[in-house]
Amino acid sequence: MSKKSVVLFVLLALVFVSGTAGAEKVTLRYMFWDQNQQEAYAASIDEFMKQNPDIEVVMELAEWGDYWTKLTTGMAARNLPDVFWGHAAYFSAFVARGALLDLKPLIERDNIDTSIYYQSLLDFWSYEGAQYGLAKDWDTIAFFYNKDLFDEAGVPYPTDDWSWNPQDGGEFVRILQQLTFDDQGRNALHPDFDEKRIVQYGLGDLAGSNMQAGWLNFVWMNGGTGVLDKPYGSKLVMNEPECIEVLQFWSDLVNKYHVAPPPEATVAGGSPWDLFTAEKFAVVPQGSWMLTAGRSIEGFSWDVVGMPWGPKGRYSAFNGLAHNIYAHTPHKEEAWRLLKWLEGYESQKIVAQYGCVFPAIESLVDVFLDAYAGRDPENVAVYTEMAENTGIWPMHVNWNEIFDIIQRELDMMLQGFVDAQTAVANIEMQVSHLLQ
Amino acid sequence: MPPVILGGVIVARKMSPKRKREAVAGYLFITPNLLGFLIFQLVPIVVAILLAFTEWDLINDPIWVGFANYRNLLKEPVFHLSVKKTLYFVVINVPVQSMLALLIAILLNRSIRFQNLIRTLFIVPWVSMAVAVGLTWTWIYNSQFGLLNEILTRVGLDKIPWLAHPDWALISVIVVNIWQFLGFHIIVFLAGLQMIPREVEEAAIVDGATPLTRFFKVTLPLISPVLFYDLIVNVIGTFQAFDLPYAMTGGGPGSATRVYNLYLYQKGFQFLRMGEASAMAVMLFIIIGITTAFFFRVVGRRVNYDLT
Repeated sequence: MSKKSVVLFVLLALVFVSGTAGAEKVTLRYMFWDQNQQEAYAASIDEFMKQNPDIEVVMELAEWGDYWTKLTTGMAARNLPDVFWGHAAYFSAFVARGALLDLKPLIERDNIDTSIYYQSLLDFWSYEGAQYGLAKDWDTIAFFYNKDLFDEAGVPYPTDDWSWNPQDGGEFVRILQQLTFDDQGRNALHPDFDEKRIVQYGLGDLAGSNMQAGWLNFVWMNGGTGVLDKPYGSKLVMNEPECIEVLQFWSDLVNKYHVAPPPEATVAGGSPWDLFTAEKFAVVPQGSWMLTAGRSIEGFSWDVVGMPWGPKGRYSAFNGLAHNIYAHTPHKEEAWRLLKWLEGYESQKIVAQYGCVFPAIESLVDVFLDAYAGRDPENVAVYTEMAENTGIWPMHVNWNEIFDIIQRELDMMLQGFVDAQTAVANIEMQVSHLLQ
Repeated sequence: MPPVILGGVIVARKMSPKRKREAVAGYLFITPNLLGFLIFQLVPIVVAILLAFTEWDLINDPIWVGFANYRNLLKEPVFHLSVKKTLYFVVINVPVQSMLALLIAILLNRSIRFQNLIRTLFIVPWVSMAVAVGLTWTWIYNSQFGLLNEILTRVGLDKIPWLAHPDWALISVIVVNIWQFLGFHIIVFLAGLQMIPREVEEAAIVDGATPLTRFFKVTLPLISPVLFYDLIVNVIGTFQAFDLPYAMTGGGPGSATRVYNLYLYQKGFQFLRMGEASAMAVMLFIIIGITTAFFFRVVGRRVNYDLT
């Protein structure tokens, strides 16, 4: 044999050997969107692969902005990750079209104890009697505030019993007014305050698209039902007086009290988060998933405070993610093993230690809180209090389209071009054919 | 311009072996491009035309629905709005951009200082990614914290709601679009201008023609094929505007900047209505076809192909 053919032979033999070894090993693709959680999940998945040497898991990060497009185009090409993160806002569109695997038979077969999870989290993933996910984590909404800006303005930090009302805004608006300044250093309560020259706002992130951390919570706190009469309901309930009143109040925050910028200022150019960390906003509503991002804040000290109390109490969105399995995956059994591990006690404990998201298993919440011992924010436990009251989260098979209309019309309202009554009428007119 | 290689077929019959080899080599050379065109362009076009007759959510198999997608679209107010926004985009963008580019090209065609530097500066935005350009401009345009309004307030003027007001947003996006692609059109015109024989210009000068007369009687007729080409390319490109509105406003505020292709994208990938999105693509194809044909009939006849 010539030298060349020896090399070729060895190469071929190598390919053959590795080929047969690989044949027993199943490769699962795992897609997720939050870089803040990458480290925690990599640790969990490493442990899984150690315990399951026949499975190789490849993690694929796709940023939130691309994530859903990647999933849908992947579905069209029948080339989807086997296991991926699901979100309540997109779940209904996928499940109704048969993209996700029903886990119910597997849950029953393997006797999975679902009582360790919060029931309301499990409910997110059930549809027409089937179950499409367990529960990965949960999140609620509270306010991040910049302590330094409060100190500079001489305003005491907000306390957990602060309150608002839609008529005159209450304590909430008074505080925000003292934190909003024009370029002459006059705050929004000053008689010569110039609302055309504002350089620092009390509150940020009032876009129509910010339903989860924004306006929907206030609708609930005013006694409104929300957006739809029930999950997968066919009736829009935004025309309730309690809802219209809140939406008008939300618009007043921008256009009457001038304590928050119009949505364009935080959509075009700077994300609310960028503007908060650049100290342009004193207070922003944030989901608990932003706590990890908050750790990288430098240059000012900050804390969290619960939602201000509304006329009907204190409400927050209580959402959670779950892992979903692609309905047409060729590796159902392996994907299920991975999902079982990820939602199980051991993995959630590993992830909780990183302190990035609240674990969906109640008994592990303290592990998560321990991760924050001795560091900002001091008041992190307020997120667990915010889990006490929540309203009806809108779910609908045409939700993407409905929500596109809602956010556009609410932005028009927040920019000050229409009042709440008109905005809701415009929404009603456009969504009616999508709700049937 | 003489008719192109239409005679090639007749010649082919009596080809010498050498010419035949050359022809084979020629076809081999264009094979990669041809395959690319067939696989990545022609096949998707045909598929899109077929998908336009179906209801397809990307997840399940498409269902044949005949012309229902077209009928539904034509009844939809947002669809009509997106057509209007796009026409507005084309009507403002094309003449302003092409004329501005022509003017700059004429200035750059003379020998001036820093010629290469200036040319490069015009071309940089064109070769930059549209999304990056768009995001940068949203910072500049930002009504509360942006550079432009910062300057306006410094000199004592009121802030302008560049992207915040429906009356301003589309024109603000168009301005960025004009700026971004100016470089491309300048190159086209520069190439055209450099094809004009120097003797013709010199003869005009000797005959005592003023600069203005020279431009209208000599330069313009001589570059009219290039001008015509540029207009067509510009119209086709502008009808397909997508990146900048997508990156800068997402179509807002309200639907003020929701141009045709942005709505098409939303239909297909956000609302999972790929059938309707395909029907929109087919209709855009027809609209562009009609517009181009119109240009060829009305403007094309005045184009002077003699001296180039």
